[in-house]
Order: sequence, then structure tokens, then C-alpha cells
Amino acid sequence: MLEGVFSNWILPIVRVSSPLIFAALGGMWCERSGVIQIGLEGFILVGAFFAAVTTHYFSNPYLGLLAAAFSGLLLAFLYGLSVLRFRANQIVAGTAINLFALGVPPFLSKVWFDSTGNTPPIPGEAQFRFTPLVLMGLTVAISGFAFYSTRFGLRLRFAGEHPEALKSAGVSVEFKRWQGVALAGILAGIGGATLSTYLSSSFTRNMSAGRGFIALAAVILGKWKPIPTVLACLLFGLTDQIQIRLQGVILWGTEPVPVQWIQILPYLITLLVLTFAVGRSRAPRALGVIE
Amino acid sequence: MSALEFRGVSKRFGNFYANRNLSFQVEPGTIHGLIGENGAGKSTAMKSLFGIHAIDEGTLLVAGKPVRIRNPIHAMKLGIGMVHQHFMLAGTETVLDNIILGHEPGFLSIHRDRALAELEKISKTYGLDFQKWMSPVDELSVGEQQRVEILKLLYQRSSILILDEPTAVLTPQEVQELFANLKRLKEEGKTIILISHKLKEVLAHTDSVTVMRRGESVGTRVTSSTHEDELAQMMVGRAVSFTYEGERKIFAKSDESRPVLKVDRLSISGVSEPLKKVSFELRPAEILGVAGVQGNGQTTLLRFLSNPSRFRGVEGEYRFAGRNRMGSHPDELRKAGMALVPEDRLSEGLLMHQDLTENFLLGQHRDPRFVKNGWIDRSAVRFRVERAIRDYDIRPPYSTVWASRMSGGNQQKLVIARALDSDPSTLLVAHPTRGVDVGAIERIHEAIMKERNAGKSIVLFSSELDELMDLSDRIVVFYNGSIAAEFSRREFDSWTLGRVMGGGSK
Amino acid sequence: MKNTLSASFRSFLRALAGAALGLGAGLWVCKLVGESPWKVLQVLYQSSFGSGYDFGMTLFYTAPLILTGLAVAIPLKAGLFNIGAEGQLTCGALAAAWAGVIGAGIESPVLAITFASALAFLAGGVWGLIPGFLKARRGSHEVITTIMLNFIAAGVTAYFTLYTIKDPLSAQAETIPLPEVFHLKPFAAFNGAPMGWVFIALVVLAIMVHHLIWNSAWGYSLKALGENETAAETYGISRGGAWMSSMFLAGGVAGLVGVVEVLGNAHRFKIGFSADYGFVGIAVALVARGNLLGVLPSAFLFGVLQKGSASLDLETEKITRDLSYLIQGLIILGVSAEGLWEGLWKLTRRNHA
Repeated sequence: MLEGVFSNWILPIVRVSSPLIFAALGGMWCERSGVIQIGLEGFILVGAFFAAVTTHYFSNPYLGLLAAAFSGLLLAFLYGLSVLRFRANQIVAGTAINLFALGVPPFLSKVWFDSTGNTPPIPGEAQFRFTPLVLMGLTVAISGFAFYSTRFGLRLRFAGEHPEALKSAGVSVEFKRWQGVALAGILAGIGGATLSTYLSSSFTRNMSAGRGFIALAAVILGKWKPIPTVLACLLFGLTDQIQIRLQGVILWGTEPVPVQWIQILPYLITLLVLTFAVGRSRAPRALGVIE
Repeated sequence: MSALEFRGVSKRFGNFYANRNLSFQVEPGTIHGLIGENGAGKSTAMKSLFGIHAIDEGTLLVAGKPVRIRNPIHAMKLGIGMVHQHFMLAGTETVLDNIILGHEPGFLSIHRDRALAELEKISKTYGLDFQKWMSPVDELSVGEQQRVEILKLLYQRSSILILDEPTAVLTPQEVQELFANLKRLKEEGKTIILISHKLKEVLAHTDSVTVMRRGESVGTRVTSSTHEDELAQMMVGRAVSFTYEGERKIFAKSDESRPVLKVDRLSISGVSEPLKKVSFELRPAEILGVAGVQGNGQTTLLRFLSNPSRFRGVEGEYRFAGRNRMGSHPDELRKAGMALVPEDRLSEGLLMHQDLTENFLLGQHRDPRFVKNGWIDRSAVRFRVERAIRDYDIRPPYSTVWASRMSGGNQQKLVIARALDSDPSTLLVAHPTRGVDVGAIERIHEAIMKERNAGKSIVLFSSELDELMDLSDRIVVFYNGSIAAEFSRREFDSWTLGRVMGGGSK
Repeated sequence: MKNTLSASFRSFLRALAGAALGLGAGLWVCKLVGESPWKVLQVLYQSSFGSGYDFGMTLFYTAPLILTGLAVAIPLKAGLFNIGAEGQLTCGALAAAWAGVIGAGIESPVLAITFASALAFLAGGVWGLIPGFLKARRGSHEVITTIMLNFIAAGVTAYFTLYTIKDPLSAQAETIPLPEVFHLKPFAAFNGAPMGWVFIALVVLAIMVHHLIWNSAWGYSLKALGENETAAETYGISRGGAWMSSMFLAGGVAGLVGVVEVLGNAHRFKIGFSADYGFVGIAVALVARGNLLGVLPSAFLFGVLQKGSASLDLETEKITRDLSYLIQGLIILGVSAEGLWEGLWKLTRRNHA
């Protein structure tokens, strides 16, 4: 019975939540340092794309993971440059990054594979079996540890909470923020990799389907703390599982519930949760404020 | 050898001298007071010392050696530490984390137990009793937070401690505790600089004191050999900066019977500057000055009088133009004849990236003089704006100039012109000449007096005693959320007023 | 005179420079993948102005962008980011198609079109009001709520299309076709491109909205709130009211895309008809720097890009219509990088000194 619960519910939920968890943790680090991060969607997308392409080419998913992290980092660098160096409005720049990332994968897949946006499938042996879960566990553990127990975590938290105090303690606020932005790119990129090389076997157009924004909602729900954020991701993973299970199920009457109503469940729940469960959420005090 | 010396130090911001030829010495192991009114340059001097900005002329000497302090880290290395007026503490983080920020012990993970042990030791040595190391700073009282700031300095091994207006936010008991702690620190060899405007405290707890006015040091005294009157005189200065030379109409006493505005036992809690049972009246054809050091409740009063709908947790009575106004919306008050010149024109009064015409509409964008059936008649607005430009000599004299391009004085003239344009019966005016050059000050004072002479009533909030004494018929002094005393024009006296502002009695 | 004109002129120049930079970067990417930038530019020009049909199609792509550009720019005045134009226009389009079902008996074209347009506006308006309401009452961040509502709109409209008003004669996911009386007639000069007098109506709409925001007391309160929230509050401007009303108007304007698409083009609602008009609308508004009249030339720029990308797809081996997204992203970055221009300005100053 327990075996059934585990393989039917817990494992799938954890699996399906993995992209969210990576992206959300990345978003958490970034926003905790004081930089708004709505570009997670873009990072996931490019990460998924480059992971699929690299894995296909080298038949090695680990290289794909690396490519995903790197591409996410590059895109994050572009974001950081616009926002930290050139002081662009953070929401505008994040939107621009998402638009840009929306165009890159289909463009490149046309150039490289002559396809309309999907990448060629990854051979079975090259797919991940459980490594991403291990990686995810490590990331969660390390994030939690770093957040509370290291100098890095403490200073980064101050960068978002009270940058003046950090500055008068002699630490560079801007450098911490670069680190936050970089982490968002790397982690969300890896989240994208799990999407295309673990949860599926190729990259398909617009594969992220709003996960980047759901990840951000998870960060807000989790009050910008590592463990609650992960729990929020699992919650959304649960709604996703419910959504899959409910398809074709007859709840009332004689016909199954139309699939469209079920498919919107995760988004609807995100909306409801954000509206009612959050209240006066305590964002980092200096979020979005750049002198 | 002095612990600290300012020698001919000057600091400029553009053409404005915040500090000019400032010179004084501080002996080691003493508590040295630095006093002066708002804007005298005390904070600027200490920011230079703490390395937040560089000085333009003169020398700073620490322990007898000239130094050029590049940044706060450098200042810290020299043993200088500062407790700012607005604490540098992150409320959601623990006391311990706030203290050790930047000096965290340990390599991979922070060894908080080590820091804790050291802090316990410091706490004992200096008699700074403290237990709540792991509580978030938010849960601490203001006095406790201040103790945390001091502990921070001690943890950083500061030998010169600067405290900027430390008692501004403390209760009387906390003040006592603070000075007891400072005495202990002094005995352990620390040098303390106390920035304050509160004469009584400075006289009671310092060894020596330097008085600053308009960026310069007026003089340094050994505390035991001076007294309140002398310090007050040095602080405020004999010469009044600008005297209104115009007409002051005398009105018959019969106007006392029907106040234009009345506030009775007004108490507002849940705000950063609470009010406690404030009562006063405003009569026709008078200027009521509201004096007091910033932070004693005047801001709350002003905000409440102009927009009661924004406040909750209000008790008492507020009547204006014959009706009860508790919970009223600004539009209602405006229709009843009230106009507002807010405290901070930049953040509250102007739209910086809009021109004069757009700014003129702020607060009156539904006024029937300009708006018909919901549509704005800009030519009507422009007409008024151009008249205001002429009447108040606003420069540059074009209605299409952006507010951000105007000097402070002209911006203020615009805000005042806008308020007066609706021909109000009552004006709430706050800091009308803050950051305004002398020529504009004259114009603004003339405008205010003209209204009074025409029978209007004005509540004038200001931190410039000269201005208040010049213009007001009566002055109420705010201290700690309530009115400490009221002065009639005959009783105006800068020394007494200064004393009451500092917590003394009339 | 001098100050406002020179400031907005400089702002326009900056936007132009940023757009040029983004475009240049995009062309460089084309070069990287092996296509000649000159050829790309040539194709872009031909595709927009080459023939009556081409020009008509360019306008066809521009029209929805005018609407979604306005839908983003209007709440922007009040300080809100409306990322939900996509969902709002979808609701509006479905409502327009539904109008054809409900009003099947209407005989006058004027009445029919007015009815459908009003329904489209209302549907989009309500969809826009929801996030405005949530922000006013619960402080919910509008970026996330609008995005969630986009997905929800997609699902809900898909349901109604497939189950309630589905076209029984068609194998595709589309609704019952609208009666002839609801159709908008295209200009003959456009040789088949589905664009007619409705474009002029949209230009007039943009001018009217601009007039509304600029000259009404309501519009003033939006601008004041967006520029300086503290000052607006001091003088009694209600945040919640401004947010809700601006989002309603924005959603309604986005909903009017239904008129262009459903009444003017497909004459029915097709799932997935939108070429991401909602998201591109964000780019349109940002490049126009929030200026409501500026939305017109900005929408045209992006319309040219859209049409051009379609042609590029056909006429080159390597380049797809997704290039337009890439370029859009780069253009927005170029336009919004304030510090970039300040930095360059300082550089030139230093060289002269």
C-alpha cells in the first residue's frame, strides 16, 4: 500500500516538480539579493533547449546539464547587465529576456535541424533515470545550508533586506546581486534541462508553459525562504498530478470533465493561492530598489 | 593628545557649504556633545568622519595623526564607529546576525557560537545587559535595538563611538539606561561623540560640548562651566535671519469666539509619530505656528488635518468650517476651503517630470474652475498658471517647463501659488522655506502674511524658529506627541522656545 | 515650449536609437547563421510595401498590436504592468464569435458589428478587471495574476469553442461561423488581405484614448498616481479606483482584437489564432515609452517585423518568424537601458573635456 502511494503519488509529484524547484530556488536567491526576477521563464526555456540539443549531439545528458547551466548563466548575464549596470527597469528587462528567449530556440532549431521548434528526440540510453532527483536533493540541501549557515547566505540576505547596513559593513552590494542573478540563471537553466532531458526526451516549442511564473509564485508563497518555497513547488506539482489524473475521469453526470477545465487547474490554484493565502507577504525590503 | 580633531574642515554640496572651516577637538575617554539646530551641519561632519563622503578642505586627525578616510571600512579600521539616527539593522534578521555582518567567524559555515561567546564577554565587560541574541530585531524595543547598534560597534572594536540623536526615539527610562551605559563605556576608555539638539541631556551627561551653527563651530565649552542659556544662545544665534518688515494687522478680540478649526483631545496611535490628546484652536485671521523638533508628532498632525481618511485608530474630535471632519476625504476639505502646502514638495507635492500646468492641477484636478463634465480645460489652467508666474515671480517663466528644472525656491513658490489659487479660507503650510534661497523666502513670507491680513487662517509648521517667531500670532510647541506649551506673540523668546522644544518647561 | 518638446524629442530619439540597436543586433545574428543582413533588410522592405496585398497584410498584423499596445500603455500610466493582454484579447475574440450566435437574427450590419464589438470590449474588460481588483484589494502582484489569467483564458475559451459553439461542419477547433451581416469588408486595393476601414477606426481609437487620458480628470489621476504615488495619495487620489478602471479599459481595448480577427478575418473564433499579439503588445508599448500616440508608429514597426519574419521564413533557408521575438527582446533591452545612454553621454562628455 505504501509502495503504491510512493510510486503513484510521491515519486511522480517530486519528478514533475523538479523543474519548478530548481527555477524557484534560483529565483529565491536572486530576489533575496534584491533583484526582481521574472525572467525565470526565459532561463528555463533556453536551458531546456540547449540541454536537449547537447544531449542529442553528444548522447550525454550530463553535458546537456552543463550546457543548460551555461546558457542560463549567459542569459542571466544579459539581464544583470541591463538591470545592475544600465539600470533598466527590472520588470521591463525581465519581460524582454522572456521575449528574447521565446525566439531563440525555434530560430536555432530551424537553423540546425530545419524544424519548427522541436529538437530531435534523445536516444533512450541518454536519458536521465534518477540523477536529476539526486541533484535536486543536493541543491535543496545546499541552498538551505548556504541560506542559513554561511557567510554567503547572510550577506546576500542583507543585500536584499538592508543594503545600507551591508554597505556600511564594508561588503559590496552590487557583487552580491550579481551572484543572485547568476544563480537564477544557472539553477533555472538546470530546471529547464530536467524538463527536456528527464521529464521528456526532446525540446518542444514553448515547453516551459508558464513554469517560470509558477516558480516565482512559489517563491512568493514560500515567503522567499528555501524550504517553504520547495514545499510550494511540491504543492504545484501536486496540482499538476491531480490535473493528469483527472483527465478522462467522470466526476458527475455521464461524461468526463472536459480536459480544458482540468488543464487550467494549476494556474487557477496558483491564482487563488496567491490571492488568499498570501496576505501581506514580506518581500525582501530592498527588492527592486537600485540607487 | 586628542582622540579626534577636526581642523578647518569644509564640505560642499554644489555651492552650498554644509560644513565651513569646522574646528574642534575631542579628548580620549570623554563624552563630547555636538549640538545645533536642524541643518547646522552636524550629520554632515560625522558622515565625513565615518567615511561616507570625502571632505573638501581641512584635516581630520585621529589619535593625533592626520588621516584621509576613504570609506566606512577604513573608518572602522581606524576604530571609528557610528550609530545612525535610522538604525542599520535588518528587522527580519536576528540580533546576532546583524552584529556579526561583515565579520562573521568561521570558514565554510558561520560559527555563531564563537561570536555568541565573544558577545557575552563584551556584554559583561561593558555592562550592556542583553539576552535576546537570537531574536529577530523586529521584536526588540527601540531602546534594545539601540543597544544592539552599540554592541555592534564594540564587536568591531571601535574606540570612537558616534551616536547621532540617540535619544530622539527613546522613552525616558531608556534614555536613563543609555546614559548609564555610555558612562560605563567611557570608564572603559571609549571616546563618545553625542550629536544632539537636547540641551538638558547634553548638559547632564557630557564632559565637553561643541556648538554648531550654519556649518561652522560657534565654540567649544567644558560642560561643567557652561549653562543652558549660553548654549541656547550659541545654537540659535542672536541675529534673526529674516524679519518680516511688512504690515501686521491687528484684529479685534471678538474673533476669538468662533474658531475656524478645532482639534480636541486628538490621539492617533499605530503610526511612527503618535499623537497624544492634542487640543488646539485656529481662529480667523491668525497664523498659528507649530514648533518642535522633527519627529515629535507634527508630521502626523499635518497629514491628519489634510487627509483624515487615511488614518485608523483615531480618537478625539476634529472640526473644520463648522462640521465634524473625522474620516473626511481631501476633496471635501478642499471644497470647505482648506489648502495644503505639504512638508516635502519633492515627494509629496510635485510631479517632477511634468510641466507647471500639469503640476498646477495636482490636488485640484476635479475643481469646477478647471474641469467641466470631467474634461480638463487646460486654457483655464494655463491662464491661472501664468498669473501665478507673474504674481510670484516664478522662474523660468514658462508654463511648459518641467518641475525638475526649477530651483527649490521656485518649486515652492509654485506649490504655494497652487494652494492659494483656490482662495482658501484656511491654509496648512509646512516648511515653506526649506531649501529655498533668500530672495524667494521674502516673497513666500509676504504671500503668507498677505493672506493673514486678508482674514485667512494659517497653520504654519516649521523647524525654523526665526520664521515662526516672525510670522506667527501664536506658537504651540510639540514634544513627544503632544503640545508642551503655547506661546502668545508677546511671550516669544527663542531661548524659552528652544528649551521647551528640547523637553524643558515654559 | 522648449522644455517639454525637447525632452520628449530626446526620449523619442533614445527610443529610436534603442530600436536601431536591437535591430542591428538581430541582423548580426542573421549574419552569424549565414544569411546576408542586406538580403534580410530587402526582404523586410519588400514584404511590407511590395504590393497592395503585402501592405494590407502588414496593416493586418499592425492592427491587433495597436490594440494590445494600448492595453499595456494605459495601465502603465497608472504604474501597472499588464502582461495579460493575451488572455484579454482571447476573451474578447470569443465574445465576438459568440455575438454571431446570439445575434443570429440581426439584419443591420451596423447593429451587428456594434453589438459584437461591445460584447468583445466587455469580455476583455472583465478579464482585465480581475487582476486590477485583486491588486486593489489584496495587493496581489499584477504580473503573476495576469499571466495566470492568460493560461486560464486559453483553457476556458478552448472549452467553449470545442463544446458550446463549435462548428459542427468543421474538423478544426473553431466556432460556428458568423453570419454575413457581421463581416467586415476589406479594401479591394489590398487584394485579399483582410484589412479595411477598421484600421482607420483603430487609429481614431488610439487618438481618442490619448485624448481621454490626457484631457480628462480621470486620466489625470492615473498619470499622477503613476508618476508619484505619494503625492497622489496626499491629495486624495484613490489607488484602487484608478487601478481597476485603467485595467478594465485596457482589457476592453485588448478585447477589441476580436473585432479585427473574428469580424474582419476568420469570421469565427479559432483556437490559437493569436500570433502572441498580447506579448508583442508589451514590446510595442515599451518602445513607445508608454506614449499612447507613439503606440501607432511602434505597432507599425512591429507589424513590419511580424510580416517580414513570415516572408523571411519563406524566402530564406535559415530564418524563421521567431526571429521577430529575438529582435523584439533586443529592441526592448536597447530602449530600456537608461544607464546605457547616460553612460555613453558621459563618455562623450569626458572626451570633449
